Amino acid sequence: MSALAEVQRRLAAALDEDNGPAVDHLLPLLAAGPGRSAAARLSIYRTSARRARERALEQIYPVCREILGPRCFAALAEDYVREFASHGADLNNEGARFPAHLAACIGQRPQLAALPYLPDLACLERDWHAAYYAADDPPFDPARLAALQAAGRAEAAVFRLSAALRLLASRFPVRAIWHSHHHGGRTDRITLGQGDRLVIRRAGPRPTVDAVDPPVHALLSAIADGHCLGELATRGLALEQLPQLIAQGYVVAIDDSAATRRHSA
Amino acid sequence: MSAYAQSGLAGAPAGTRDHGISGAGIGLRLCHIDEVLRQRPPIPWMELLADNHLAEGGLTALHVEALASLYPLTLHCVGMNLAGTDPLDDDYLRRVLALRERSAAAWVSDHLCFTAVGGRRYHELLPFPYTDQSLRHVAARVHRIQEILGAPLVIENVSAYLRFSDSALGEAQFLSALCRDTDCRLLLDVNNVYVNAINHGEDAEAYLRALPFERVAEIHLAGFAPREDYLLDAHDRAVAAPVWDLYARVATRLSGVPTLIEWDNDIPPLPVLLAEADKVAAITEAPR
Repeated sequence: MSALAEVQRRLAAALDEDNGPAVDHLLPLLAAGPGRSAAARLSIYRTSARRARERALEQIYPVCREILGPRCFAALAEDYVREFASHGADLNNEGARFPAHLAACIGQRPQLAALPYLPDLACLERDWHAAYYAADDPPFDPARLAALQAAGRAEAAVFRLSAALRLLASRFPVRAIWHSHHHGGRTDRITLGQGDRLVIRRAGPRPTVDAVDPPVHALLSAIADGHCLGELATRGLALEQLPQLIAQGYVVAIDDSAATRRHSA
Repeated sequence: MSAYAQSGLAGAPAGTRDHGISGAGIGLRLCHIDEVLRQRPPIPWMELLADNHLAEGGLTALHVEALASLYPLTLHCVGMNLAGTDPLDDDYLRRVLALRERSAAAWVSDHLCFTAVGGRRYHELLPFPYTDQSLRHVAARVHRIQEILGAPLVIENVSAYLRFSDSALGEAQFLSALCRDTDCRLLLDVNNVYVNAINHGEDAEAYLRALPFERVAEIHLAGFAPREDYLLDAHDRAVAAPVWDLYARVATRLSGVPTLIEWDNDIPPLPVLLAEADKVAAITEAPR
């Protein structure tokens, strides 16, 4: 490891902990200066780095924050930032595991037991945010499917969903809760119902959250899992919906490479 | 000769007027975009925080397209990890390049710092020792980034709260050598110079004398937050009086270099930001 890499590794390790050996390992590398100690100067970076990620979580999960209250949300966000490192340059992708973090916290903290729907609601907010920032899709090219049919390989066709589409299934009415908070409503009058099968998708400037029938959700989920057309048929999925899903822009392409791999296998 | 130099783009940032980037601009933040697009205030140019606009679709891309049709733009990044020892993030750089093409941005800037190590991102502008080894390391990365972007990178001096005992060079000397070795340009943040001078007991004038002013393509101004025993580069208030004083002295030597007001936290209404930019014009256009 180069000297520069070692310095950076020590500084990063010292940011990851509040006190302890990592800070002690860094301090000999630092120059003395006027005013506050090097350890105190280090805390400026530690605070700022954590705050940047916590602010990102606040922006991605506003409804969860409203339900939990700012202080409770801040505590959960702080725990998350300490526990899970960030691995991407784009803060818009921050917090992908925050719903799972909430689920774990609900199991450990009795005060959150009354909010069992919170992890699924967080999934909705995470997916809405991801759809908002997803790339635009090229239009579906029907010639690709026709070419596969002409080559007798239609069953190997693997469809691709829109980059700006996410699927969510929940036993809770998370769509109604989410909508209610966006319109200043109350969540204590929402009935449990049969749960939600949702498509979160951006077609225009902003994503929409739409409930779909279970057969449509099952078909989209199987496509998302990479099953080819032949497998979709074998599973008895609602293939009659496929033309409509293509027309709606849910299904945007045929993955040629996947179709070729399946045909050769 | 590098590919970008062969492309004829090598002098792009220095020729600021060719890109319409001149006078006092503002860093456009997300909360002001709708108002700017609706009212179209007469702002000479604007800078986008590239990391907020990388999405290749949806409202984000529509905003970039609309802004690019109305204003000369530049891009300011925080994620290149210029001094990092992790491999460069090719996907991030590809997205920055795509954004530059969509926005017709005159140039792209980032900071003299590292932001990631061991695969972990810290979303903070972290300092490193200024040594011959780190100079060679950063220069190699800047060369690579310039090849990808097809243009010189504009590199900003940062507020640093730590100094390293191994540093053989000052930041200004390091930046000067980096310009010499890579043909990059400089973004001179006057607030950062002042904050560092106070926090480390350094001489701001000596710092400025060590910079190659002919390489400065852009100037930044922002507000610092006074803490008990240091100044925080908080970007949460108006530019402080001593920073304006320092800027006035810089402006006499950097006539015509575009200047930008940055305000990232506790962001005020747009008219307040524009009034701050007007102060730049009052200084640069004052009779000398």
